[in-house]
Amino acid sequence: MNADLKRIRTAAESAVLESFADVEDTLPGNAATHADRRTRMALFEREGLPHRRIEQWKYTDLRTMVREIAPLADKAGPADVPAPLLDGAHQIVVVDGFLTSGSADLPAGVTLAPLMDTLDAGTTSLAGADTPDRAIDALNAAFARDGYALAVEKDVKMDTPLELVFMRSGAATMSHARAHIALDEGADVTIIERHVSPDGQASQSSAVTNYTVGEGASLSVLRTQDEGDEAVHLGEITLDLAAKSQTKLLHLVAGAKLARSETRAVFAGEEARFDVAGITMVADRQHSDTTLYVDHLVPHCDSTETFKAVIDDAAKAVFQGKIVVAQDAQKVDAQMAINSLLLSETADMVAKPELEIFADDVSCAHGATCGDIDEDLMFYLLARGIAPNEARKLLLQAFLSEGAEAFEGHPFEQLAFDAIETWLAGHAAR
Amino acid sequence: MLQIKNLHARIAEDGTEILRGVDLSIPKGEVHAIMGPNGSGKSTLSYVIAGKEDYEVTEGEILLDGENILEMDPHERANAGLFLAFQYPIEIPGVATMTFLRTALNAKRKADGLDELSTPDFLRVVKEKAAELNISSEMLKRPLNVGFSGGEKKRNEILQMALLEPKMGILDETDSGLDIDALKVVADGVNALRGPDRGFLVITHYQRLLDHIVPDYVHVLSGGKIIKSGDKQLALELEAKGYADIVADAA
Repeated sequence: MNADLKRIRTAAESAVLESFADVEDTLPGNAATHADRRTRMALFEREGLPHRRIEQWKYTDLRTMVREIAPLADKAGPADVPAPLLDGAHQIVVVDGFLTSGSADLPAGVTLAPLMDTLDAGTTSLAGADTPDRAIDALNAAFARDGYALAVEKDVKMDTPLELVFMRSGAATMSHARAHIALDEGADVTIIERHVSPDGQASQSSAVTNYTVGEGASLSVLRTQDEGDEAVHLGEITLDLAAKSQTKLLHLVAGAKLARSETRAVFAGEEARFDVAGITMVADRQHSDTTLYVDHLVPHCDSTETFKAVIDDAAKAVFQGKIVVAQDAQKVDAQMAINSLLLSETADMVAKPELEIFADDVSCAHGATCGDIDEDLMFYLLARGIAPNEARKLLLQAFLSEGAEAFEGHPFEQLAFDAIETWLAGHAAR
Repeated sequence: MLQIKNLHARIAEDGTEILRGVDLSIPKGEVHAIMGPNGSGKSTLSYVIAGKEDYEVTEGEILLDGENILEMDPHERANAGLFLAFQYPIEIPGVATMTFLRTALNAKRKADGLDELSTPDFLRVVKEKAAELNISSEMLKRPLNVGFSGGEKKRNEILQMALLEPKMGILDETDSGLDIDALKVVADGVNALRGPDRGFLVITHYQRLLDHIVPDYVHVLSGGKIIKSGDKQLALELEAKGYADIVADAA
């Protein structure tokens, strides 16, 4: 191969570049913001859509899988906002990448600024890493039209959950939304991030949410990805975890034709804790990638990573989990488990757990299993007269529910059970 | 009643023949015990009756009330009135014991053409039967068999049998792993279920269980065949002399 040979762009890659050239001057932001956008786009111009030769994208080759790119949404289309998952939650709604509601009547101690405004004012930066593994963030930053910066003040313990809705209207568009959520010291907040779009609509969307969890703050996040059956979804959560903070994150993944959700947590202060769990349920020809990076930069922090996946039909699930423990980060405890069940001959699962440990006094472990429903468990239920489809459902329910173990007694637990029940009713019980 | 005629079965995976012509008939109301040395095919017999896929029946039939159950799936056999109390009851994390009991009972009721039990009715029935077996409500709240002691698991098996009211109960080494107190509770539970319409097949290694669940007949299984049958005295004889003589006589 000639290294100078110009790589041939795919139709989707060309569409992205053309779209950027067309809309760039209509995007919000001051001069510095625009410079950042162009820098982020330069990565894309150089590397194209992430593909299998980039190690972190080996199992989710967007270059091959994304064939078409719809035009960038220029306004929020009409959309029916779903009722909140938790009663009384305050909804902040982004439709087609535009903040449409939630700015008014904010709960006490919460402030919100539309991203459009903060970009124009230059108070939010779109700068970021210039490496191909960060393609989601780069693409999102280049195109982001709106979103918000949300802050929870010091020591505010919120009774009302916040529900951050990221949805698509009826039109097939590309859209990119970005939110910054900052919890000041001692704040305590429950957040549901909800990513939804209608079935039958070939939309491409990205959503990046950057959380800063202040010293001693507590954050619980439920992220549900329930995109439509033709949707392409790229998501990223970043978490900056200060000393003595406690963060719990639960991913419920059932939607989209093609999805990748990245979680990047960095321990920045000592004695912090991060529990992340995920429940992935995919069927048909869905492709769902959950990628996790946990960076233990400092000592005396704990993390647990628990992922469960059920894969049916010709679907494919990918789980990549990398835990890095820096040389100074002694006394860290990190435990990662990935368990998956394949329900058909054509279902596919890739589990890639990685530990990179430079410290010498830590407790880290990872384990991955992949298999079919245990025949002995099945036989026990059958021998009690329970019909095969019912027995299967019970076992899948049991298997997946364990993914929510870290949330026992928390309202997220019931939401997880409901999501499992809904999925099983539509899939595995047939 | 349960009739087993010239039953031959092998391990599906490697074709090893385990049962080589078992003939056995258990009329309603009777308790039959099967004893035999290790590897004689006792547990295989129970699994083949219950319909475990690991085994392949190559010859013979099994009739429950005249109906050939070999053509039925395991859950259909259970709903036709067959109950296997497992030697090693399976732990199922994430499935609450109560959910399991309720699902099983409702499956049986559905098969019998009955409506599902209402929640209060179900709870009343379970609590009543659980109390007789010293099963606490705390135990019922736990995931199925998870963290149960050997005795608790076996009592849970008997509770299931009491709820499902089978025509034929098969107890596969129910005494294994039990101390004498637990054994007595389990035996009392089984004895309470004895009646003119229900038969039992009690598979055991030791005579001890048969002091508590007194059988009408005792059969010796060896090399995949029943080589000797008799009354409960046969069990005592086996206990005293071991299997070697009987096996040698039959050979």
